[in-house]
Amino acid sequence: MPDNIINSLTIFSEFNNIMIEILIIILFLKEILLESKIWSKRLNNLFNIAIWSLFVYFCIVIILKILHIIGKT
Amino acid sequence: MILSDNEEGGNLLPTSFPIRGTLILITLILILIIVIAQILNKKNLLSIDRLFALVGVLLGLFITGLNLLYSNKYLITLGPLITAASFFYIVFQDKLLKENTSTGIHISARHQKIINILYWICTLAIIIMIYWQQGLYIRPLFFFIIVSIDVSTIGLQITFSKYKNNFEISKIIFKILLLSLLLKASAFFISPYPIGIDPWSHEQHIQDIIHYSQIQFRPGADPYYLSYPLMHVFAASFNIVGNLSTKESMFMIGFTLTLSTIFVFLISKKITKRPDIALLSMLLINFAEFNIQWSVQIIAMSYAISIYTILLYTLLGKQKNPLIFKCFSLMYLVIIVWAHTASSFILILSTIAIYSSDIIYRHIYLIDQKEKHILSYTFVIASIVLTFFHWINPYYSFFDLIMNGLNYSVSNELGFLNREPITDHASENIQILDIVGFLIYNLFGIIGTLCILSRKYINNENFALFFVFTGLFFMFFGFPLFGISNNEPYRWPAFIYVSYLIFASVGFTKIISLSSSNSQKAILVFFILFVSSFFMITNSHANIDSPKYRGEIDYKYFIKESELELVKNIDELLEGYLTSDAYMSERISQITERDVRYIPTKVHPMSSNQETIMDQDQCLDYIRNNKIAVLCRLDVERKYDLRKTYGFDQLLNCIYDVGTAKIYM
Repeated sequence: MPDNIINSLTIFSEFNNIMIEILIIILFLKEILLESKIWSKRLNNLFNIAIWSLFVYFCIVIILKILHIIGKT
Repeated sequence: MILSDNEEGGNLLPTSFPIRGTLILITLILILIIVIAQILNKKNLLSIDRLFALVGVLLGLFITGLNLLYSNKYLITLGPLITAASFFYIVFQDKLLKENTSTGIHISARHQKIINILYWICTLAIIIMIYWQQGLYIRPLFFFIIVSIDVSTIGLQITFSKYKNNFEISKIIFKILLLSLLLKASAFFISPYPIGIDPWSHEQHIQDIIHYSQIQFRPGADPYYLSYPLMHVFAASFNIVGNLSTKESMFMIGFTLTLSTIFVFLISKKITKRPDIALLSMLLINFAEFNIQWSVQIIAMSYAISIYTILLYTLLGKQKNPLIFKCFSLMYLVIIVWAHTASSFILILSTIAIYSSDIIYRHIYLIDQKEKHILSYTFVIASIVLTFFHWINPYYSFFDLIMNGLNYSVSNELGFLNREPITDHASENIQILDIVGFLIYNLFGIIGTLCILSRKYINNENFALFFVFTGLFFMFFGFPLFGISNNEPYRWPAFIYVSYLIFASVGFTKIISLSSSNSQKAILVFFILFVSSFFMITNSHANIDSPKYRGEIDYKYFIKESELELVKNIDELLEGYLTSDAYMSERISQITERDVRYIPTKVHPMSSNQETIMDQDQCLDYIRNNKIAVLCRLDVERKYDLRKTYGFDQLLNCIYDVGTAKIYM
């Protein structure tokens, strides 16, 4: 794996953590709100957009992490 | 599981026995298929459950055929069993699916009293035997027979109770829990030290948390469980609040695991709507070998299994109060991720299985698409993200560890054709006795599954559970088959049983219902439960102190007082290095508080720092040059046995011998 990607991984690890933490909070919030009365189609769409975009980001982080580990070995 | 039978590997093709035996089995199965084809032709109907039964027959044939390439005790028995059970279902399908309720079966009050008295006599006998056998490090055969009789009497009470009120159900639940706890306590308190290998380090972690009053381990301790500390905190809280010793607080984890089987009862009651089947599920899981094993060998996974059971209930039983169940399921998700790694991975697979089963169920059984899903995709994603986020924690990246292990397994261990056949060890055939209980549970499991898959009994929750255990079984058997062992598949059945034994209890009830009279039913229930529970509680997983079948090759994972004295003596006498086998090194290090090295005998696929195995001369030079004493256990698993690996009896002088352990110079 190129060094610049590894460096950026290290630099952005704090940022990655924050993004994943936000994703977890949104997921938990949606799970609870799903059963409440305030849940609406509009809220559902908003949450879905946030979840899927952050989930794609999370997948990219994991894939880069795997490539990093395999590259090391 | 498959790997453990063949620690050394090998490049031999199977000897004549498996080939001949397998060919005979394949011929028999082909005859069965022809008969099935005739039956199906007559009935002229191919329902979904019958289709699954046919798949079962073919799967059995395939597994039997695998014996031509590689054979072990599971492959040689499971293939014919799956075929026979599926065939049995096809033949007796109409009778098995006939509606019957055991709650209508009557036996006189006098007979019920006799069964009840028998239960209490056996329970008292067990308590007395535990008391008298204390300190002897062995539980006699008679003890296991009495426990099995006691299990059978509970089975009879389950079958013949009228279930007029909840008090009757509560009484049976209490009896199951009491007997289960007695059995587990008899194994757990057989030695004053932890039972098993890993519990030693867990005991240290618990002591450290109590000592430091925070999640902190002593200097030099492995930091792995600092990221997964919930079991240790839970046990430490019992120590502080209940004023218990560390050993007793560890048993509270086993106690929690036993209590969590109540949730198996609740899941089963919810999906089958029958108290007798639900109680039977609870009875079967309490006396299943892996449940006993992890209630005795207390590790973080023991705690995680109980959380997994509760979580499965919160996921499947949320119709009445969905918000409360959601909150609880999220809380348990966090707990399981912070409690144990493999368990959270199993949870991810289970949630994926439940979610995908919902979609497949609607397509197979043509159910209305508007019906609400059991599980939202949000929960599946939440479990994946939370688990992996915790695994990539920079302070201790478990993700790096498993990826390295997986990379190593895939690139080095893919030796499917190079496995050693079962018949290399003369006593391997006897090991089949070790899995008789497992096979009986499987017979009922397959028949119960096929019954539930029929249109008459199917619903989305049943189908979800079916998907969960099928997926986990695939991982359990499939991964080791291809040489991948870093997901520790031998631990998975404890999780599989949570869902699978519900189906097994359905199968058990259906088979019992085939008998015509009450006396026949009573004899069948008593006999089947006696045999299955006896083989379950005496096999090498549930019973590591008093081996019954494997003689010399069996091993015991606990330390005796004599061995402890041996360690203390050598600690006082020897100033130089003390070296041992890998099993004893950590234990001696904890007892003597000195650095103890070990001589490796096997490379662990999880280890990122791969150790090299020495040859005989190198080992001898190492011992001579360093002037060290080597302590060897005689009854350890083959992979730790230094004496056999390096031939110590011929090469070195034995200076201490306490029967179960020796010291060489």
